[in-house]
Amino acid sequence: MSEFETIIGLEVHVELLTKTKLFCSCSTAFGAEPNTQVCPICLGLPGEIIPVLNRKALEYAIKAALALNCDITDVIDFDRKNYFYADLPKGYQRSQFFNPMGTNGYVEIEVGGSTKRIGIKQLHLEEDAGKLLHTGDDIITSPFSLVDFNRAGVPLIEIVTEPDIRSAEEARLFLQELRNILRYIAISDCKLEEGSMRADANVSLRPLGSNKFGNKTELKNMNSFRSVFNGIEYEVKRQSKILREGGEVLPETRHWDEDKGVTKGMRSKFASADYRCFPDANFLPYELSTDWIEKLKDSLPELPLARRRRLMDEYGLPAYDAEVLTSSRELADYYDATLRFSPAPKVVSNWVMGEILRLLKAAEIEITECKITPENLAELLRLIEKGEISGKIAKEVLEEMSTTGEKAESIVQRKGLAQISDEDTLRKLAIEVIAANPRSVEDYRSGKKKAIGFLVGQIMRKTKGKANPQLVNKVLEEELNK
Amino acid sequence: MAYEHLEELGKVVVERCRNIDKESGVFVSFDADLIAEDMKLFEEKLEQGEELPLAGLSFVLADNISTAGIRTTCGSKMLASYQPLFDAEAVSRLKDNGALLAGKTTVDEFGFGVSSVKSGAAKAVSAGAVNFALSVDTVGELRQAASIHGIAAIKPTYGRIPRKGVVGYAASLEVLGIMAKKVTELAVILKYIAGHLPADPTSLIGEVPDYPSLLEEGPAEFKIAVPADWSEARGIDEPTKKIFGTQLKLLDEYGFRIELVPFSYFYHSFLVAQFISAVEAFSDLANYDGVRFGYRDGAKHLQEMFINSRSKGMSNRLKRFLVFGALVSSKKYFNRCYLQAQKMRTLIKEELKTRLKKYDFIFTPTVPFTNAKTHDAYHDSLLNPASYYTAAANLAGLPALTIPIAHSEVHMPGLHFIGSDETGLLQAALRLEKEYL
Repeated sequence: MSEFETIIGLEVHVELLTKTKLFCSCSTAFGAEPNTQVCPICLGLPGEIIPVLNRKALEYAIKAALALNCDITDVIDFDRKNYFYADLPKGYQRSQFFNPMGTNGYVEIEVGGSTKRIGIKQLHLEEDAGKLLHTGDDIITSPFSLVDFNRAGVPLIEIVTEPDIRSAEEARLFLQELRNILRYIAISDCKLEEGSMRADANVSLRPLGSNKFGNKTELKNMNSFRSVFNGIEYEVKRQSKILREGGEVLPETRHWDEDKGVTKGMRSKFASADYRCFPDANFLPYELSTDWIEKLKDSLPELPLARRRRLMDEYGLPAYDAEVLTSSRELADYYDATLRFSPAPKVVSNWVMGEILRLLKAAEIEITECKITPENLAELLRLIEKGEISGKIAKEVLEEMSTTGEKAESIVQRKGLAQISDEDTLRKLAIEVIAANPRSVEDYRSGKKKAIGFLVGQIMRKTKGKANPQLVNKVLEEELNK
Repeated sequence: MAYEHLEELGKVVVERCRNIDKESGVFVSFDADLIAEDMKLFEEKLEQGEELPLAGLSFVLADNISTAGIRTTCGSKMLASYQPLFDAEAVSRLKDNGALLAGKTTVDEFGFGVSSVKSGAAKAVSAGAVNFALSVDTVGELRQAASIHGIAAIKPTYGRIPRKGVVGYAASLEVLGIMAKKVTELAVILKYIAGHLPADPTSLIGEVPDYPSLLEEGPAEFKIAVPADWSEARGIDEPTKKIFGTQLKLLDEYGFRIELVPFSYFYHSFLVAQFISAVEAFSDLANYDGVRFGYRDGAKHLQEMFINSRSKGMSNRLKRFLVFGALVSSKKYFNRCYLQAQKMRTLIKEELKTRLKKYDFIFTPTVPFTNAKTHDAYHDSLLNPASYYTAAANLAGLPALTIPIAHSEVHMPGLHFIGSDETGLLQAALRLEKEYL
């Protein structure tokens, strides 16, 4: 393995969250009855060929290009990529071949404790094709196939990286970071499982130290981060075996078979790879307003990496905390909002990463649907800090807050959950417990210091867990050592 | 009173259309009942006080212009039974203003090229069956057909009339144009169908001039450039040289100051247009694959279905043109041919615009040959010189117009002129028409 260097470039397609298609006003809603979201334009009917560009899609593509640090094109133009396929209504796909929306960008990922830059070669806007449903294994062997054109014309951006990725792990990290960025700017939901984010990987190997690229294969059909990782791992092993045995890697497209855990060469169905890209005369090119681009640039939120760094620098959070808290913009917003009411960044981090995320998961809801407001969470933490309730009770209170949205203080009062921190009360209880458990007392006094735990437990039982644990310990020790 | 008038007119149109159809096969779709119904509808609208400025005028459409619920075959087996869902925008505008659609006429397959036999629209207008026709002009087909059949035609500026619903073959060149016997009719119809359509961003924004009211205006004299080597046109015949040469001498009397001006790129325009239109056609006609509509042939699998459907659904002549387009745009020839053609297009456009700064119009014959048989003989050739004089206007997106020259001994090519705007072209054409009558 180690005698080869792995070279990976990714091509990622991302569906934009626009309400309508790229060049017509058909809905893009997911899951409608087949062929109900179509019109003469996205079906490519005769004479219905003139596109009207969806300005929202253009805006989203520009935002994405800006978020990936790309240079933005001066001219908006569309080209035709010509090929015949049953899911392609016009016989060509409109894409930005000559003037991609963005070029020369990058994404930074954290690998093994250091930051690595993955170059973005280009980002362009294009239209999606329809969906084929085969009655057999594939389009060649099926007795017949069905086509659904609801997806035909849905806006996509394609992001092409430079061949800067060196391992399956880096590929996975890159994709996660990319998804995170695109979700932060709210232009796509980036669901690999549903196909709103699709990644193909170009994989090749070369002897260590060589600067020439070897033959590459293009991996398709990887529908989760895990399958991207596994697919590339498998392909690297497959290629290195071929090379070690003195063979040559066949440049081809290969399908990742999730169930069998292998990649398979695809039968080349249509040999022609000459797409004859040329400008679409039905789209009149125009210049992008630099004012608009500036406005969009200003409208971008703080992106994940910057936010992670800020949480670490400003609040002294460990890298792990910063990573978890910035895994979505909404969660990071929640954290930041809570800190407006709380002076304890690490405590808030512990509670958000622990209890809040656990409650969300159990209820199968998003942070935006959470009934515990940042202010109420901060108040709960303040009650712990002031010794009014114990951490254990606080978890119960939080659970109640998450279903009712009630304030911590009012739950504590209503249920009488306030911590017993009155020393006299606790001392009385300690004396009672010591009197009732001579055996434990004897154990303690003969050196088995752990026996105190049993006595503490007895007090907790009597107080239904409300006794201040530190104070109980202190009082018990004093009484036992008398 | 009015009701009887339109109803009577409808009957007259039906009879004339039937006659010309019997004589020389003009119509693909013709429905006398529909004509009667439409006329009745117009009458009702008029009685309700609606204004229908084009009521009483009838027209035909080349069969590559969409009509809702009426077959639009584009002269191809591929679309032999295809019925569009919507009218082309220009057709809606005509109907909304009371013009009567008499029928759909024969075209060469997908409007590619023009043969005398298939130019049904020009025949119908020439025979007086209808007042005007709409047809598509990609490298000059509309003007050539008008010229062959001795009528006038205008190819407006690119985008002047929305193309929505026009089934073309070369998107960057094609425009909808108008044929009629009289210049005034061209002006009236243009006024009603020109103008921006938001659903067609390639259509021109801006107010449409009231062409008919401007017809009599214009300068007393026009400055005309004639390409110095006009008589060297590929395929040009002696009668064309003789008659156009004579015209050049006569035109001075009518206030047209003629100058022979050198052109460098103009003469290459028909070849350049052929390259560009072939590449665009290869892509523009790629939606005819047998999947969603149109002709589908049996096959064992998808690729074979594409091949069989397109092989049997299209004529050899069209397929040769498409193969040429595929070749010219292939990796091997893209830079050598297609890009060079695009560069030439820019040069041709610049040359025309430079000349039109100094001169009002560029005059040439419309086609280089006088008779329809020569025209048809060239029809199958990929290097068809029929568009020798017409294609430049399409490459540059400029408006052009053809009018018949009167008193000619043989069936005469029209007089063709390219200008900067439709108003000027119509004014000059009207002045010539008066002289010729």
